[in-house]
Amino acid sequence: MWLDINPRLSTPIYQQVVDGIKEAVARGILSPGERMPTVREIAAELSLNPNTIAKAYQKLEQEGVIETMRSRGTFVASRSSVDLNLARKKLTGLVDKVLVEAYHLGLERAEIEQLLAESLDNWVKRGGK
Amino acid sequence: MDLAIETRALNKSFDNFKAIDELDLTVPAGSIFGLIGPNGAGKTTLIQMLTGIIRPDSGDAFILGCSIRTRDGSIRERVGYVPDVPVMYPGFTVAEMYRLGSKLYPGWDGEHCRELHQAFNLPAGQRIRHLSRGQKVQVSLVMALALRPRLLLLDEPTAGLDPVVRRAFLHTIIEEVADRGTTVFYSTHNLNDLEQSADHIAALNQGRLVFNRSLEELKGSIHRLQLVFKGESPAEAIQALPGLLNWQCKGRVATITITGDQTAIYSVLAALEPEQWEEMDLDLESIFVDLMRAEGYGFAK
Repeated sequence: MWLDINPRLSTPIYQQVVDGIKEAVARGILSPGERMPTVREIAAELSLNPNTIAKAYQKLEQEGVIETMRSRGTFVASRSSVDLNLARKKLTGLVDKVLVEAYHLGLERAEIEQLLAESLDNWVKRGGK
Repeated sequence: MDLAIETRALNKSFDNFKAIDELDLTVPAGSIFGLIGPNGAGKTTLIQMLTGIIRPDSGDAFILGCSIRTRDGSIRERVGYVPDVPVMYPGFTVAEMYRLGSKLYPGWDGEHCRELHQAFNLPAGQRIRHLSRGQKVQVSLVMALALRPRLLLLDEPTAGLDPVVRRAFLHTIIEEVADRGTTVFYSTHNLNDLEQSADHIAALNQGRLVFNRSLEELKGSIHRLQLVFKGESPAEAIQALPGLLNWQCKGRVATITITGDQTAIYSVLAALEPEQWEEMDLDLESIFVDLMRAEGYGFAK
């Protein structure tokens, strides 16, 4: 299965499921409108607690990554128009962390810019969206 | 919150040995609840009291709202039990055991029994005495599930099973929970199983409750950190940290295991002025070992 869960990590399992599904959507392994596996299917396949998977699905639904249609099942949400303000807020913190590391590794501005551009290119090359 | 199991000041002694000591335990309905604890902690005694096999000296317990002191046995129609050593008539064949089960339990689901029997690939015509330990446990689980229980009590069910059968066993239990919301209460020493499938964990030691928490809370409340100092690690200040479970100082590097809220811990640690620190992953087995050591259980060094 494309979902890789390691129960021994300190990161809670539901968070790993949330992160894994978000990544699968971003990489195009799951496409908008595609039917998601049921809670039972994921739980049984990976021998994980169904309550934990249900919690992850709830969180994904709140974040607008998936949508549940009554009686039809759960689907990958189509991408809504980007809210730039929200996106900025969410990403700035993450980017800052990268910059802190970059400082300690002694990288200069040009090198950081090049690295980010390369990562983005590689991402697209591997089929990411 | 609906409770599947609740014990109130439960006590049980064998001669002068207190196996269960004033135990108050709650198990939420619909959870997969793991009971851990060292050998001799009272796990089997507790489960046997819950099934009605042995009776408490004092206190009470409620299963699905029904007191274990009620003697009519009706509660057993809804509770599946897999003991650590399955008790079955050795001269019966597997099929005969199923037939016995179908006569004993009014809720018996023959179709479900057949499905599970086939999934485990068990020999229907074989006599119980000729089955391996693993096969006996599987027959026992098939029977416990065929009665369509609302609560499953499992006493170290996966001990001694090979990895393939162990996975099949867990898989079956997970499906049962997903399909029917059955509460599963199981004792085990296999913390990897629990880490994967349980949502609540309680630990017993010397018949007393050490903790009872959701797995997430448990993992969120214990932290292992590695600190690097400019000079020698301040061993005395580290030993004085509140909530410290385990520590080790080697030169400039200190590794600590500590309980408490992350923000509070971080502010206390900042006062020690380490050059840097890092939170490390902490698995359930390490948590268990550290907590038990804090309880005074372990090898003397």
